Amino acid sequence: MKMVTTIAYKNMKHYKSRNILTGIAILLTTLLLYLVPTIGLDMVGAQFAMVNEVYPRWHCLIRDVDRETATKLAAHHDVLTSGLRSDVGYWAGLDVDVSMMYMDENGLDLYQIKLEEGSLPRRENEIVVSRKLLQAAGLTGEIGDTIRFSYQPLSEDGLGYVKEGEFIISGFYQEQQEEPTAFSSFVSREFAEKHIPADQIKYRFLFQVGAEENVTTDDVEDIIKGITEQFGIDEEQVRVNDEYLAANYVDPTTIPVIAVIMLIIVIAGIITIYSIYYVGMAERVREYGRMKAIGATNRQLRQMVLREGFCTALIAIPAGLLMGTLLVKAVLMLFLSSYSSDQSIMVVTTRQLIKDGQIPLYHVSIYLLAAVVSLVTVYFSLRKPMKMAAKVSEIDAMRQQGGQSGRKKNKKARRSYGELNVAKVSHIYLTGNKKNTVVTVVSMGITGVLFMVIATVLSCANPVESANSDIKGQYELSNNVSFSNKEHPEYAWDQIVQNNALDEAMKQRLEAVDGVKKVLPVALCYGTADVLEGDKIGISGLPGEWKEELMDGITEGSVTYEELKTGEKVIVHRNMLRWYPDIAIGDKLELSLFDGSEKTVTVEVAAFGDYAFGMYIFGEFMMTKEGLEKISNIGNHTAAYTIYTDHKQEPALEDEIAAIKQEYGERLDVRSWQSEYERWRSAMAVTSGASYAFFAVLGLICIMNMINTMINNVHLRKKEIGMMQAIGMTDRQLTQLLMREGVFYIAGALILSICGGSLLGYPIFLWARENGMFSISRYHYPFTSAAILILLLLAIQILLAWLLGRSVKKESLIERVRFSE
Amino acid sequence: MDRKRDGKTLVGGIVQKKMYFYVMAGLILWGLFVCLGAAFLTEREGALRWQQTEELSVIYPQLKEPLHANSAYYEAGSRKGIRMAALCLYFGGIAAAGVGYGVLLHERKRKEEETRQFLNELAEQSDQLLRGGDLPGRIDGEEAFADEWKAYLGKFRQTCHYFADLRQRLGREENDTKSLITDISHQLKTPLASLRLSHELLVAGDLTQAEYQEFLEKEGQEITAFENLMQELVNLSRLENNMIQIKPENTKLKQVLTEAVNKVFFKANEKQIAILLTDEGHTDRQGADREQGGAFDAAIFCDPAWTAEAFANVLENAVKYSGENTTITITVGRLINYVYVDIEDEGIGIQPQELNAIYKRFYRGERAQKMAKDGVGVGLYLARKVLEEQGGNIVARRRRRGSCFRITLPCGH
Amino acid sequence: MSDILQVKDLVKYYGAGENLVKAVDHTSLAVERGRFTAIVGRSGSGKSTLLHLIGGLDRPDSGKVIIDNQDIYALGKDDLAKFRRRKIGFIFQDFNLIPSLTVWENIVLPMGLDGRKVKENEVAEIMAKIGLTQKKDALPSTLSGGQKQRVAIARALAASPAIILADEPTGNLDSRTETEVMSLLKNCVEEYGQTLVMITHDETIAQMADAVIFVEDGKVVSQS
Repeated sequence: MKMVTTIAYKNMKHYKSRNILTGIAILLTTLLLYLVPTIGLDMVGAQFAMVNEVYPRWHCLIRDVDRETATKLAAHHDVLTSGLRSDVGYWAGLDVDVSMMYMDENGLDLYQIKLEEGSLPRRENEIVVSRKLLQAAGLTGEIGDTIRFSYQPLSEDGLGYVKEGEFIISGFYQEQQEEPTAFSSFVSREFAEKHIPADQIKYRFLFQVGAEENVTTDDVEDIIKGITEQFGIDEEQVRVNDEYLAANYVDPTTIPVIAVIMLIIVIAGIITIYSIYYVGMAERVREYGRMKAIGATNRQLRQMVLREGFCTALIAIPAGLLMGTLLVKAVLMLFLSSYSSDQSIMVVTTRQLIKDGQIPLYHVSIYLLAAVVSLVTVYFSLRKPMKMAAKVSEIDAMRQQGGQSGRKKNKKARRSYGELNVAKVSHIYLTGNKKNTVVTVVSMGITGVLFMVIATVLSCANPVESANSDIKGQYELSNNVSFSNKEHPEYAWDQIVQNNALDEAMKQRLEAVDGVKKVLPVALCYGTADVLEGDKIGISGLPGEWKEELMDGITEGSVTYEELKTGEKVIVHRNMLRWYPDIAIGDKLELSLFDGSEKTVTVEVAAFGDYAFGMYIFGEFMMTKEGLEKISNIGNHTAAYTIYTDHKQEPALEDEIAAIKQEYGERLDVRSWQSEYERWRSAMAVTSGASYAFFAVLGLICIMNMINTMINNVHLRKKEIGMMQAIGMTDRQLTQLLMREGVFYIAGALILSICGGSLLGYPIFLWARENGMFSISRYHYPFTSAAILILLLLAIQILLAWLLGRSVKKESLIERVRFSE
Repeated sequence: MDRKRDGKTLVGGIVQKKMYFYVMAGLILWGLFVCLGAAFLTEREGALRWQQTEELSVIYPQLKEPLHANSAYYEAGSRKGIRMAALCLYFGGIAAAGVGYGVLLHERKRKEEETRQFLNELAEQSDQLLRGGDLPGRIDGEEAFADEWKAYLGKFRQTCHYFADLRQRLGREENDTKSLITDISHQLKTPLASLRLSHELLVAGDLTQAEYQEFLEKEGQEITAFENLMQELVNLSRLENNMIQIKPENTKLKQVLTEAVNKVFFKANEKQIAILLTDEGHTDRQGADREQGGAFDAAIFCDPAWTAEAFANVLENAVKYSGENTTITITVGRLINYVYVDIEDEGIGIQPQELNAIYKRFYRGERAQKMAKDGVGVGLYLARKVLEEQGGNIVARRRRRGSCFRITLPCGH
Repeated sequence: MSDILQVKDLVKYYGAGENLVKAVDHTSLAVERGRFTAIVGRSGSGKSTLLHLIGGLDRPDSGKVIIDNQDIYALGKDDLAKFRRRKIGFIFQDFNLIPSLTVWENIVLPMGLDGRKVKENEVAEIMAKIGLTQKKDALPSTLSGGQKQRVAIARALAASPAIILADEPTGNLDSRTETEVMSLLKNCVEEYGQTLVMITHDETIAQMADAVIFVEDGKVVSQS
């Protein structure tokens, strides 16, 4: 068999052009096969590594656990490690939030709090802080120094009276955030037990379950559930660290996605490589026939074909892997850099981890996977050609018209054209070879359609428009509302109305800033009704300036603006129907309000509407400000201030808002048009970049198919073309002939792509809008993408026809006419 | 002739059609692009403006009215843009049409001039030819002529060639006739000389009764041979002078062959030569169009008498140049358009270098001369002429022993 | 001057040094208009190359080929192609027809390439002559070898060229089909007043010619 290999190797070197094409196809396939899983894995890996760095490591946190239960829990056989945390109090009189808590060693470990210097607090008056904390609190000190501050101890009733405390710094912990807005300080157990009555002390129990590495997240959650049920712990008390779990345990949904993508690549690869080989077969028939006549067996012939392919693969696969390796880092950084405006700790950490090489970028398993799958692809592509080589009969070697026996297209006669010209001849060729033509055009067309659809969606998803619909005005300052936040019970709406940071003073403060045109308040109230299954929804009172948009958005039913001022009628956002399909126009809902008044009001559902996110972010039930005031008139029910400025970005205002945020910390949320815009832009950049890149490569593979078909056509018809040239076809006519064919393919593919893509584009746009993808609102025909597609395809075809014409003309006429070997 | 008028309109007509087509197509395309571009641009522009006015009017409702008026202005502006584009298209079209027409007129004038020149040249050249000069040479710049003109030129040249050929042929025929007369007179000399000798001997007397008888017999033979020769020569000269009409008609191969065989049967018998007939029927290998019956019954399209004569000549040669007790095999077969007759003998055969020469008039091969003294050498010449005249053929195929002549005749209708 | 074809001192060598093959070695000849001329020689005597050079299918190293008073190698590539389709008819030994075109289309192809209008009556007449009127719309794959060659003959005739070049057209045919094809060819050529130059190594075929040129080792050795 060594001879066979030698022959195969020599063949590979001899038939350069075809094998170069094949090599490129294999290279691209391998590249994609390597890059896609690697990037996917690396992105996920990076994210997980970052999560591991930054997030706390406990799997589950159970609140309000007493000592006894804690001990029992710790003893449970499914619990691997556990820690305790107890919130003791808050520092008082500061601009920043500083909490005091006790955590045992395990707890600190599970929270990823690392001691930089010193030791954990043991004695009653020892405390561990961070340097940044001291800075923010305006204190100085080193280990062993005493610091003094006032604090409020925490008990069941809430924050107690201010006390003065003296503590000795026993250690410093590493502050992970760059600019933290809240700090923690750690006290000893003794302190906690001393200052909080024993029966009131409540711990938080943190634990990790003992599960193996390759268990799914669902499994872990099941284990947790088992434990909590055993101990009769209420679900409300349990918080599962989803992100962390997802980071460390297998998420069952990602694998199939990657597998599907790889399958697509493999199929594209097979089609291309197969058709490239198929071309070459026809002209090698005589060669194989002669081999057979000399005495090669079928098996040897098959092996010759296979090994020739493998020889090419042996060069192309490593090349592809090498290219992929070189590209991985660059591509990853590219993905991350699109989050450039986001200085969040997550992105920074991720980048750092990658730079430090902490995250394994190159996975040996993927190298092997890509190489193996590539080889398998090559094998599958070659199966049919192998069979063809073996089927060759010895007689074909002698026959001048080798290969015709396989192509016996016993076609019946057809009507002749009275007169012929170049156009008709090319038409005859195209219709004669229907299968090939259709396959090529359809495959190109499908890629084109997909391209157009993606282009439509992406061009509709204009980040400017998305940002516009996501936020009204240029800046938004809103209250942070959350109801079951045991850590911050003051975030419940009824508390906020009593103590609303967004008051008149704030408004004036904002309006006083340079560049601020206008500050509009959005009023809000929370309520629930039977039909809402106990969920709390927001009822917003929108400012009058939004009247037109409010009225325009109505899709069903009717209501006048005046009616919305009465407080008895309300417009419900259509999205509500998804969750509560029972709501109908005319329904009179009894809403129990959560503004602290315990009132129940009746509102009538007057209409359904469709609105941009920026409008209904506060509440899905909408009425006017006046109407809301009629319903709920307790305290200050301003949920948010929407700020309109002269320019999209006002540095003065931003400074002011930053100051405000400093003061109020987590109580207020800030959104800006700019940040939304950047968010959309980066999200889209990545998605669109990735989609375009992926389709570019896939498209490349499909275009290679077209290239191959055209080369195929020319090859098979070399003799005929030679004959026609002998009869007297000029070079120009030959170029015309080739051009016409190319134009036909391109035209067919373009028509398919543009028509199909445009037709499909609109429904897909509608679907995307329904599902709120990218906050798409307006339909926008992707002119530029279409133009690019057309120009690109035309350019390729012209280039191809010219190149093919050149190569045909180069060969001497007589060689072809003589049909010599 | 209407040539002149045709020349103008024909040439002009073609130029006209093409140019108009291109101009119109170009205009339409251009206009489309302009409109599309304008629409596209104004759509974008309008959309952006509209968006801005929307935002502004939300913030400043009091500005809504003037803003809307503004955007109406923009809308009007975009409509204006389209109107501009349409105007450009219209005027551009007129301008282009004007230019095109101007070019057209110019072209036409040029073509007329060219046509006139061309025809003048042609007239001159034919004059030259008629005066007995050379064949017309190339005309300057003839590559630049329109294809149509080149075709006319080609036909003209063909005519000239035909005349030249005719002249040559006339010359040749004169020569041929001269050589024919020479050949015939030469051929006649020999037997005539022999007769004269015989006669003189007889007159001189002094012969025995037996010798006298012998000479008389010899004379008789010579006269018969002479007569035969005369007949052949008469046939030949008639044929040469096209005095004989070969009138092909639908007839049967059987009939013609039988007649031919009858003519030589006697001589063949004398030498104990057997004549066999084989019928291969229809021999189309693909098996299509199989007809019933063998080739012997086939209908052929030829002059029965002359064709029989041709066959007879070949058969005579076969007999003449074969030894005693040999066989002559006649094989007949059908082709698609033709019928073939193979006449194979076991005689002296033909040497390869003589294969072409045997059909020449009065040619006799070396071996042939040795084998049989009498013979003029016109048999095959005659046969070939007769057959080719009717669309048939005769070829000699060498055999290891003897010769084989294959005669093809067109099938009857 | 009634030589429709003149070859002057034509030279074509292949290879170099030890591999030098003198396919055509200073050959000159002339062919009379309206006659059937056969070029005879053994395989490898360079006759095929000679024919290809005469037909403008290949460029000679030196020498001239003049057809119908046109030095064909003075023409550019495209002009030469045009000249071929108007003035020369080809009949090759094998693979004459375009497989995707029907019989009729194959016949009218040279005219179609030239942009000439097809005179349907004339073509129909030629088809009747070669006996393939029934097969007008048939595809070459359904025809026998003899039929294919007949179509090739029709194609060569239909374009009314100045000269028809045939390269052993009956080489692949059995003897009876050969007889048929040759008879047909000779008759048609005479009837339409064409000039026929045919390459053959078969002396039987050479007999049918009006003039024979013997070629050996790239040189003309005798004529008759």
